[in-house]
Amino acid sequence: MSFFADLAGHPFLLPGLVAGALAGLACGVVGPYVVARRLAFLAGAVAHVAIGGVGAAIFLRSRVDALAGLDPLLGGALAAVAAAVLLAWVEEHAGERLDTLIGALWSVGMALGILLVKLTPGYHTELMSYLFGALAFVGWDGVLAMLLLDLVLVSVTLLFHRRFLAVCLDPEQAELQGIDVLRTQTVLLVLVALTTIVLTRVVGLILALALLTLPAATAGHLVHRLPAVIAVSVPLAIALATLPRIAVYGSRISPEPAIVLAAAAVYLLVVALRRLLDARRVKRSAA
Amino acid sequence: MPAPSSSPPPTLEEPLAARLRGVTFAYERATQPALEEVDLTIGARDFLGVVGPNGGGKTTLLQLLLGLHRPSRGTIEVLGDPPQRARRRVGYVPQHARVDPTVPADVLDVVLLGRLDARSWGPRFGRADREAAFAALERTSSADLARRAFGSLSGGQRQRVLIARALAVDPALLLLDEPTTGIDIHREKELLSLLLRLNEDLPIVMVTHDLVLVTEHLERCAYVNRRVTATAAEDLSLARMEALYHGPPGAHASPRATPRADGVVEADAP
Repeated sequence: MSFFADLAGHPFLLPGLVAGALAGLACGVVGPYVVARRLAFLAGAVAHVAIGGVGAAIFLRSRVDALAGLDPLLGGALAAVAAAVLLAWVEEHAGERLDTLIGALWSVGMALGILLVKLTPGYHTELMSYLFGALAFVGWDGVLAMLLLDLVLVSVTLLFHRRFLAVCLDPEQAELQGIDVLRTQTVLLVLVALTTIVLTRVVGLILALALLTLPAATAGHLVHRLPAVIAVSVPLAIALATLPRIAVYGSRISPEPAIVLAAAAVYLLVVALRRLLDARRVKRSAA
Repeated sequence: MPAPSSSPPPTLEEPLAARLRGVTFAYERATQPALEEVDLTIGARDFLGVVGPNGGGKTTLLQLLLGLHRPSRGTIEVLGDPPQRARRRVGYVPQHARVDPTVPADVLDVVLLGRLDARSWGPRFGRADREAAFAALERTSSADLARRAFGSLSGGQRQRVLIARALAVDPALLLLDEPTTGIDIHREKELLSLLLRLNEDLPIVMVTHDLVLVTEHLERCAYVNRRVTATAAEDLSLARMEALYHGPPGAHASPRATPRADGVVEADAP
C-alpha cells in the first residue's frame, strides 16, 4: 500500500498514525460511559465550548506578549473542563432545564471561537484545523500530550469504574450508599472534556462526538457488561481512528471525515447484523 | 387520638426495628408538614404494609427511616440508632423502573453494586463482596440469573434482583417502595411469597398501593395521610380505604375509629 511505502520516506506520517491510536484508546475507554449515562449531548456542548476556548487562546496569544507561545488547545482544554464542571452542577440542581443550557453553550461556544479568531490579526484558517482535525500536522510533541492525557483518562477510569457504573444505573441508590453523585458525575464529565481534547487533532472538535459515541454504541450491541463494552470499543476505536487514514491516503478524500463515516458504517452494519440474528433466533424458537 | 399500635409490646429479647415518636416533618417552603405527629413502632418480626393516597407522605416516611431528612420535631430510632447511623444496616428496594435497563450490566454487577460504599475505589469488587452477592442471589432464588443482562429480565425478575441488591449488605431491616408496580399478578404472588419468606428473620416495611395484598397477606399496616395510623391489616376494609383515599388530604381518619354509622363508608361497600 502506498501509505506504508511513503511511511519510510516521510517520517511525519507516523505521528498521525500514533495519534489516531491514542485517540481511539481515549474514546474507547470513556465513550461507553458517555453512552451508558446518555451524556452525548453534554459531550457535544463541552466540545463546542472548547472551540470558544481555542478561539480565546488564539486571540490572547496575538494580544498578550507573555502568552505568545500558548498552545490554543490548552485554552480549549481549560474551557472544556470549566464547561464540564458547570454542566455537572447545573444537571444536579436544575434537572430538566439542562437541555436549554446545553443548546445555548453549544452555539455560544462556537460563536465565541469564530468571533475571537476573526478579531485576531493575521490569517484565519487555523481555527479550521481545530474544528475538523489536522492529522497531517500532528507532531511528536502533540503525540506526547495525548499520551499523557490518555494516562490520566485510563487511571481515573480504573479508580472510578464502579462509581461510574453505580451512577449510570441508579444514581439515587448510589447517593444512598454514600457515593457523592455530583462529584462522580463531575469527574466523568471532566474525563469527557479531556477526551474531546485528545480527539481534536484526529477528527476535530465538531466531529469528536462521533468517535466518542459510535464505537461504544457498536460494542453495546455485541456485549452486555460495561468492562466488556470497553474491551470491544477500545480496539474498534483504535482501528477506526487509524485504518481509514491509511485507506484514503493519496486520494482526494481527507482522513478526518473518512474516520467518522467509517465509524458510522460499522455501527450501522453491526446494528443490522444484530437485528438479523435476533429475528432469526426468534423465528427458530417459534418453530 | 392516635390509634394504638396493634403489634404486641416489644420484649427485651427482640429490640425494635424502628420507632418514631411525635415526628413532624415539613419540606422546605411547604405550607404544611408532609407528616405530622407520627407515632409508630416497627417490631423485629413485623411486615408492615404502608398505604395511603399519593402525596400522603408514604415515601417521606421511608426517607425519614433512611435518614434522608431530619424531622422538625420528634425522634426516630432505627435499629437502636439515629437513622443516618443505621443506614448501612437498612436495605432499600426502589421500584425496578428506577434502574436504567439500557446500561450494560449483568445481574451480578447490579447486586454487587449494593456493596458499594464511600470507601470503594478501583475497578473490581473483592472476594467477600462476591460471596455476599451470590448469597443474596440465593436468598431471592435468582442465582440462575447471575450472568443475564439486567435489561433482558422481566419486571418481576428485575424487582427480585433489586431485593438481592438490598440484601447484599445483609441488612437488619428491609424497606420497599411499591415493589409490585408494573408487575403482573402471577409474578406479584411470587414476589410476595419471597418477601414473606424473608420476613421470617427480617423486619420489612413495604409501601404499596395494593390494598388487597395488604389485607389478605399482611398482619399490620400503617395508613399514611399526613398523619399515620397503625392498625391490624384486617381492619383495613376496602370500602373504608376508598373513603379515606377520596377524603380531603390530611384528613386524619383512623379506619378503626370510623363510626359504623358513617353512611358514606358503608354505602360504598361492594
